[in-house]
Amino acid sequence: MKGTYLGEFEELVLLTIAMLEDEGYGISVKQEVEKRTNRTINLSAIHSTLYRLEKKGFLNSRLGEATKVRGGKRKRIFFITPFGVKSLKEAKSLREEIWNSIPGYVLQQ
Amino acid sequence: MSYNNEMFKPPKFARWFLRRFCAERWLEEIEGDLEEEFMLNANEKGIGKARRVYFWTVLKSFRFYLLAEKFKSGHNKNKSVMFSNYLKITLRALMKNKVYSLINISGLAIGIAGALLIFHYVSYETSYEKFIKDSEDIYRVSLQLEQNGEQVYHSAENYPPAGPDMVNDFPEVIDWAHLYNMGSKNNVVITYEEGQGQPVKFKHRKFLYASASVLPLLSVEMISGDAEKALSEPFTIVISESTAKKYFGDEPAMGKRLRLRDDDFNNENCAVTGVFKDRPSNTHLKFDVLISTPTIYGRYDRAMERYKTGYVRKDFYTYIKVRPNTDIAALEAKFPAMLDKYMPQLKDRNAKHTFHLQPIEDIHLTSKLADEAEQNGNSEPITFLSIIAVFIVIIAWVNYINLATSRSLDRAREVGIRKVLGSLRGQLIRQFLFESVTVNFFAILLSFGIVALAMPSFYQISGIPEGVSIWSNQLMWILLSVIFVFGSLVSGFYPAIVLSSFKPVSTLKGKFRNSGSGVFLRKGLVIFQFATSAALIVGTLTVSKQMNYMQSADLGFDLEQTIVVERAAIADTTRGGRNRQITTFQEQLRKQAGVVAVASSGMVPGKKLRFQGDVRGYHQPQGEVHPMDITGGDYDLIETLGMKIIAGRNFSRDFPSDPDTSVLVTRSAVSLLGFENPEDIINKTVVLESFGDAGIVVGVVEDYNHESLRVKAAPSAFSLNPFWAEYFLIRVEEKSIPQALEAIEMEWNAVFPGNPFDYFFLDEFYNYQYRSEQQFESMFSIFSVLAIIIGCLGLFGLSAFTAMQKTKEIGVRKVLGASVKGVFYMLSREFMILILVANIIAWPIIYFVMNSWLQGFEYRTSLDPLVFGIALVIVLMVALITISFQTIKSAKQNPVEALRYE
Repeated sequence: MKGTYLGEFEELVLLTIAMLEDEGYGISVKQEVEKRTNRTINLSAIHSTLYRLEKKGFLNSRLGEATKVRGGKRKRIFFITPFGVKSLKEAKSLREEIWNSIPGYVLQQ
Repeated sequence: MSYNNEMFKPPKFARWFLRRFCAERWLEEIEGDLEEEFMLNANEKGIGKARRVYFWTVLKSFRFYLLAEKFKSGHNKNKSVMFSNYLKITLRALMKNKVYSLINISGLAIGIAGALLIFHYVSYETSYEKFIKDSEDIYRVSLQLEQNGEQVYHSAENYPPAGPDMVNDFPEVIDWAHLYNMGSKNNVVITYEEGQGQPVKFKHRKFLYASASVLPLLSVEMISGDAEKALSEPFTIVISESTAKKYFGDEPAMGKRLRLRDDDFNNENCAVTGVFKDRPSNTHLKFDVLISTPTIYGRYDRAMERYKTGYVRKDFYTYIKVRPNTDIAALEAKFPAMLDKYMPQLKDRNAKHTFHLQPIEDIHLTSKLADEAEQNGNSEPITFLSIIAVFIVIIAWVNYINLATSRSLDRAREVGIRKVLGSLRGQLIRQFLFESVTVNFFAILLSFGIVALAMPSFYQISGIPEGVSIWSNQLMWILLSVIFVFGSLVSGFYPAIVLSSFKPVSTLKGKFRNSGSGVFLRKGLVIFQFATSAALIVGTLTVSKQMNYMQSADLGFDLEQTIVVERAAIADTTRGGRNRQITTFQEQLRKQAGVVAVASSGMVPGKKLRFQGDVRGYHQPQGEVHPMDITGGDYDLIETLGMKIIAGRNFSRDFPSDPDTSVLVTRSAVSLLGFENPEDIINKTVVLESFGDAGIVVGVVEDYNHESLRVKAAPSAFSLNPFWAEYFLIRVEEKSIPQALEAIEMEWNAVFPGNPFDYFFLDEFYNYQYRSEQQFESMFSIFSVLAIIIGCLGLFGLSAFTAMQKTKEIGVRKVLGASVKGVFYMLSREFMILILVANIIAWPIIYFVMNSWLQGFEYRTSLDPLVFGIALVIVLMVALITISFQTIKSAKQNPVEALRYE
């Protein structure tokens, strides 16, 4: 379905948001993804992905509190929507289905 | 760690930039995230790295979705709200009445496009020589010869020492250069013999012998070789880049040898010492090949005097450079003394020479001397076309004003409401000005399209080389911005004032009518438009009438079906051998089927004669001489050219003494030589003073126009010289031209082996003289049509609105029994009267203008009253057709509909 397709990076970000519960915002997502994938990611990429996911309906958001480190600016906290959860599950089951249909000997190579 | 430290803040510029493009709704969180990351980085990796990351991240954040969101969101400053509102209203007004908008914009666009094209042409024609450094201080020295107080000759060429002597004698003259023009007179073939395979040979016209100073003085751009020295040694040759390519392909040209041979038996082997960038096309002196003048100093015993030191032969284009701000009149006043010093013998011969200085920049448009390097342009069309361009643009603006004010009825209510809601007059004026800016802007965009479409045919018509692009013409862009700004203001201001002046109460009551003064102005503008159109039609018709006249005039000789072949550059090196070749070639041709007549000749009509000499009747006192064109041809010349013998006889092989003694003269020479009737001069002796020769007149031929009909047919004398043979004239039967050409080429190759075969048709060659007139004619007619189209577009819109305004009146009239015809008449009458008045105003003006244009031709048609009538009828017809679209529609309308309207 057009518009709801999850890209690899998008899936990563979506999963991270789900994992971070109430703490998912630009910086925390960036750090988490960087830590787990061991690659450097530019903050702008995280932002554009977050906004895109929100537009597609996978994410919801609200403005959080402001801190001194942020120059008095509020952060936007993201949550996963039920639709987002459903898409993640679908993506996972799709993979598992394919995994299960791979003949065993292929995986033993 | 202190947060107050300036260094501990993110880069200011990046932050500023982010705020510019980032949409409001995301700005806070993005800035916050960035700052948080900055702090983290600053602590972990150091401040510099943190700043760099910040900067980089901002740059990478510059993405479309942020920017688009920014534009979508309405969080803008007040000014831009007003602006976008103006834009919205303007676009709505344009969309509301699409026909009107289309007329308005396309009318303006056509006008602007026309003006731009004309301007491009004018700026190209006036750009001649401007690329030369210090061109305003460079002059060509022309030579005027007078005999017995009568002008004999005014030549673009001069004596070889004129330039150097001026530099020596006058401190204000700081440099000189001269060129010996042989390529356009003699047949020159240049051959590259040392390459592999066949020798590469080409016939060269754009070839001159040049003094070493030519390259720097005329700003010749060298690719290789030294401009100062390349032409200082004998047997050196400098060629253009494209010529080098023709001869040597991609091999380096420097040091290669080229051999020049011409029909004067010159044979010079020169080394290439320089290659220059191809000359721009906007110069009167076009050359591909220059050979150093020292090359010719050793041609024969006294060549040094002939080509360098002596005031003997006058065939060098001479240019001088003067100190900036030199008083040219004062300098010219010193020349008579100089001529007395170097040519004291002139006084005894009752002759007078005058040097004139021609600013090099003016040569292309104003100089019409003998021996010009090329046929120069004309300043007349430039002036005419500039005026036309101005008028076309004004007509287009007038359209805008007319349509905008006539639509005021439409907009009156809007103005009323706006005023009621508190708009100030200034704001309304701004709004309507904004509309005119928008319309002008669209018009300019559209005009680009028109110009781009018209460009290919424009190149063809105007004769501008295709490489000269209009888009790279900087002046064009300046003009365009002037048109845009000026046009928007001028055409927008009046409607803006008018529209914004409406009283809200009267507009809202629905009692509003157009003011009397507005109608008056509109009528005035329509008259202006159609006066211009009528004038242009009269102009076009007159120009084309003159062109027809010139092309169908009896020239005294016959142009048709005549093929001209120039004599061979490489011929037998002995006189006798060459003469035999000339005879054989002609005899062989006479045997060909389809060839009617063959003659060799020293002249070809359409090309200025090389010789002008003084002639007197034997009985006339010595010293009383008359300048005449003198040329030679063989027995068959008169017949081949179809000239008429009006007294006596033609040269004939039956009279063995003819080659030595006989002369033919033209009718106008008869009275000059002191005889009343052509018959009286037969068998009388005339003296050809300049040649130190005498002859017996055996016949008189009718005057013929050797040159364009701009000048009077010159009195001429023909001597019989079968071997002068600069040209072979071959008259062929019309239907057998292709076969004849084939046969001529075959004979050519047989008799003159090693010469490239080249030919031209006499009529094309002769009519080439009218090239600038032809260009003028086509440009004139095209732009008249444009002016009429624009005028009609305006008229169309205007008539539509008049008809709309009179809807109720028409309805009432029809109810009371008016016929369709009657209503049509009522609606058209007003416009017809306007057009009539416009014509009457235009007539005296255009009569005066075209009359003075015709004065430039020695042979001219008259200004026909019929032409004025035709112009009137055309304008009336076109206008009637234009308005009939509207008027018929309104006249046919069901009166019930009309009365329900409003």
